[in-house]
Amino acid sequence: MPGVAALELSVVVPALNERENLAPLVRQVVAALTGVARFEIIVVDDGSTDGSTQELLRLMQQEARLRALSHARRAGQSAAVVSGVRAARAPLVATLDGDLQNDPVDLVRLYAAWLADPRREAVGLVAGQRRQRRDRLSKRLSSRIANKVRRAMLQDETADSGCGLKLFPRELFLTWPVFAGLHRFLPALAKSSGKRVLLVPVGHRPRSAGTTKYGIWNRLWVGIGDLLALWWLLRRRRDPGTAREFTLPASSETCRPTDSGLAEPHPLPEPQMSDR
Amino acid sequence: MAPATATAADVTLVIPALNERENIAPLVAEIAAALDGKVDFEVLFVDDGSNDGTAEEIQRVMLQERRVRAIKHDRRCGKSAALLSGVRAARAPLIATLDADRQNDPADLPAILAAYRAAPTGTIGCVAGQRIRRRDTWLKRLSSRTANKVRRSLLRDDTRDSGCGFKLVPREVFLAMPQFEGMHRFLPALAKRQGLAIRLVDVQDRPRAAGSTKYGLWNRLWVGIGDMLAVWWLIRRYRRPQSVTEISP
Repeated sequence: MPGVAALELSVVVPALNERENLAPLVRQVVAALTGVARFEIIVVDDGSTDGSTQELLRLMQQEARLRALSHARRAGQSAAVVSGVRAARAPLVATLDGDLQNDPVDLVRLYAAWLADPRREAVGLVAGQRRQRRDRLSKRLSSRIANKVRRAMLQDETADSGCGLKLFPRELFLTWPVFAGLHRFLPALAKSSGKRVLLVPVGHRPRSAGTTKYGIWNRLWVGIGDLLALWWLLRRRRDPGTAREFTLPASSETCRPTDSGLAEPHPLPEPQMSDR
Repeated sequence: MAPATATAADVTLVIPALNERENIAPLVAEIAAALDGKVDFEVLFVDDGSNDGTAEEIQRVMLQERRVRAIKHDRRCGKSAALLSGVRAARAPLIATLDADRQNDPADLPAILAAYRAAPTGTIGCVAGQRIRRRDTWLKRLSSRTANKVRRSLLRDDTRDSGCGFKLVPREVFLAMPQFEGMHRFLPALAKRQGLAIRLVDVQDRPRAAGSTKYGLWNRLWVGIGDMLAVWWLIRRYRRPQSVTEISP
């Protein structure tokens, strides 16, 4: 595949039975990002039964930057995002929902916010914040309460953690615990990794095709459980931010977490500074 | 068995150490005696903020044993954090952990490695040492036994003794686990959560010869209950897509 190494952004789209939305979604993402970043789109089909797979195959004939993953059985939105992030080839991943309620144009705003930040290596997440929800009253109300409670408990300073538009470094995401519901806790996890969260206002559109998979009851109880578990685990997080390798004599160099390169024979017993 | 010319070790022994100065040299000698000629290894001590000269002692040992490496936390972060730092810095694809207090006998390491290698590649998430006869105070033995029973029945991790310091986990598997203080007691449960198999290997437990323990009843009880409930929830909330395939025209 051409230009794989030079990819800058992988757009991951979890989708369950969204056949009719896929063509406009791909078209809109391509229109939004062409000329902005070298990107790929990865649609993760979470066990659709509506012919989404065939539709994706058709779309791939027209758009070379489109890839598709398929789950053998439904595993949920978080699992779909995780599969997409693992398969992603760019160092930066953006997500958006497969239902077209997120406007792909907003991907540009997220990417621009990340690019514009002078300390972007310290940014763990750029999170879209829907200014005006286009959902039913019950969903808007339950979301608002859930966001308030979560924000108060986890101190994640995020008004809307459920927005599907997010952008994060791939490697950082892969250090976070995987569970169904993870996608709602990315701000808290980014902060617990010692990173900053950037909030970017985004638009929201009413659903034009397909049906929602979320109601109040399939979010309430698991949401409370997720919140309590995360609250506990984040309290129990001890980040040894400054683990250093030392050799002879006591020298200190920051130990790079991702360094798993081949061992070089230690030039002992010459006292020396660590060079890792 | 790796050829002698291999540049990277096959297994990294990650050993968290907090104020264990007197145990470092004998431990390294025992490890070398147990593994020399059997496996290509490196020993990676993680000094979790010791103030008894543990780091200096490790440096002294490095002069004699070139396979010893060490990293240091500038403050005490806990055993799980020490393991995580060690696993991140490890150069081998396979991690074996053991305690620095010498209650674990390195002579048991070959059996633990053998249990891992006996299974098909990629199927084992954790080999857990099981102490057959604990050499601790009756209070610690009783509290451990109760905790193990409760944890085992709630998490169904099939593990009699999850507190044993001897564990073998592939590096990538460890790094995919949720990281929190206390996670080292849940390695079998967390490996199983990822759909991987567990193997148990009986090991010896020796009385502590030097240094002092960092664990009592009360610093394990309440946090242990919280950790267990959180892990129980994360296991319930783990959804495996069975298989993920890339579709292409």
